[in-house]
Amino acid sequence: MLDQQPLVSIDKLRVEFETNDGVVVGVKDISFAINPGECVCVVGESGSGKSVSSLALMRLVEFGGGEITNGQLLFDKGDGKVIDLAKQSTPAMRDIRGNQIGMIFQEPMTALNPVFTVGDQLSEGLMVHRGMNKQQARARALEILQQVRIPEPERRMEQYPHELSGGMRQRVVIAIAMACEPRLLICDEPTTALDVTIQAEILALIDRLKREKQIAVLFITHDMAVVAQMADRVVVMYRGDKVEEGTVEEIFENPKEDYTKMLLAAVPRLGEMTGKPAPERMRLMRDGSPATAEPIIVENPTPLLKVENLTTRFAVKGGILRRTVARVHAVEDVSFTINGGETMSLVGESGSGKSTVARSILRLVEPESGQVDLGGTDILALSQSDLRKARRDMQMIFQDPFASLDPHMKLYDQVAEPLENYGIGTRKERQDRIAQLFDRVELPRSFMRRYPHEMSGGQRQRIAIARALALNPKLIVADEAVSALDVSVQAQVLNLLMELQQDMGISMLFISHDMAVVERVSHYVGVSIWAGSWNWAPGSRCLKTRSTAIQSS
Amino acid sequence: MSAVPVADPRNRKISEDLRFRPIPSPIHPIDYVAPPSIYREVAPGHKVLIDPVTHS
Repeated sequence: MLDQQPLVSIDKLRVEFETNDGVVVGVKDISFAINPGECVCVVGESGSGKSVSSLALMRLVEFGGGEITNGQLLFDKGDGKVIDLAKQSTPAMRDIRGNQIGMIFQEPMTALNPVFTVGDQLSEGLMVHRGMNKQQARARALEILQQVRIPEPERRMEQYPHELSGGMRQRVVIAIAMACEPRLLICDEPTTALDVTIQAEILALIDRLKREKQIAVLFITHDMAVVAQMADRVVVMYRGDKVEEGTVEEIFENPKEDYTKMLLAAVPRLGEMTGKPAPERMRLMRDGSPATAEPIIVENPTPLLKVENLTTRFAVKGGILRRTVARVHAVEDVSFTINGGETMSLVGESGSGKSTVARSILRLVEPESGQVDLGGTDILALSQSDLRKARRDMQMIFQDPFASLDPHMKLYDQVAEPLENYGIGTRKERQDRIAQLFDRVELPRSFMRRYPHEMSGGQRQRIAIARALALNPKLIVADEAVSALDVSVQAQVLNLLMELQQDMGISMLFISHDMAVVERVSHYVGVSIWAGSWNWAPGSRCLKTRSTAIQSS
Repeated sequence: MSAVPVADPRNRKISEDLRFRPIPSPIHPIDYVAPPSIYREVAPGHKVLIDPVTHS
């Protein structure tokens, strides 16, 4: 492979952004190449320049206010010509994007146009780049949907993105990226938002396309396990610099740079909690935390939350009179207990009812039957006004901290809002409390006057945690709260949650699709196959023992 | 569990042969009565659902 002519050679690429505070260098003179049929994974933390590098290759970085100020982006067009993408005109780049270079974005719902059918979106590139008429383009689109193994492709052609599951939407995005048979496929965190079974299918699909079509793949991810599974070579980036490059075996088995070593050390590995009696803090990347920590053992635990026979169903309306014609059995007969100061995790595929269980407990959706007892209070029997009071004891942290924070409100006001809603404290007392909360989640007090867009993903999630803590809750529900964070930030946020749990005796209902994280943080785990089908076990045991839950048939 | 990627490049398991069992549709007729969940305890606190079809 090394003797091959590279398909892409990035040579001393430098990308700068003009900001109010001056010029920010997004990528500093990095160089690497990708050969045909090779997968190069670019890894690093948020802000390391991974996505900027890929956007520069597509010349999309200019639309985000960036500028390529130095370097070459040499691309072999396959007709004997090697062109510098950095010097191509706008029309020339329009001909290359989606044609010679395909890109799969992280979030398929935003990558797809909600008002066009799957068939229309697939056909567009074929008509523009391949000169096909509508009929030819649709025939080819159908063929591509079959290649990416979408069930019932004829029907999917006529559907809109919102009618498809997350996994199917991402397959459509891959199909669009593959439609014109590009020679380079850029995958920017293509599986981050997907659960493990769909992730495995998508990774296998990209790997097959790489092998069969000799496509070069630039794969950007923060998930080192995905890197180990996909990469031929790995480029490690840190603060805009390439700090190390090597074959995947070299990087994982003999990393040279301290940063690479720390990056690998921060990765939770499934099975490392085997035999341990209770959750332990994660290893952090830079603070020199010891590899092991004191287990979070609760002496003489007493039940805080008792859920019994919880059932939540949603009506499906149909017909002219909009009568109930069927019901979605989202949660069926679920029972479990969470002790004070302990963590129960729920894992399972998309659609298996994890989030509905959490929302039913908080009565964000109304359960049909069952019992939810929080510290002696029957939550399901409460009136709306009493429920409002009870919600002081139960707070939620959502997956996307950007979406769960109000972009128009300063961070101080967002953390203060629960206190004001419940009329807690004087203005001065609230100020003191908020300052304490910022200290507790390790954010500078100067950030109080900032807006969410001025913060990184990890910082935003800390604000969401501070807001959840404002009312001193007994129970925190964390619904995929760390799934979108990169490995080091994820470790910091998880450690913060575990520290707060230890210090304040908070119980946690933790929802995740990351099995290694779940193993690390949980006292107990519930694994869902589908609604009403749960397996329960102590945290360190559940994932060690092969359960019926997430095994392949 | 077979779907969980492992951070070990010498233990690759990318395969299109996983063929996961699709999640059964949760949409049922109005008169549908869900079967009761019955568990067997394989260790203290470790309960595994008995498959209503295969009874295993």
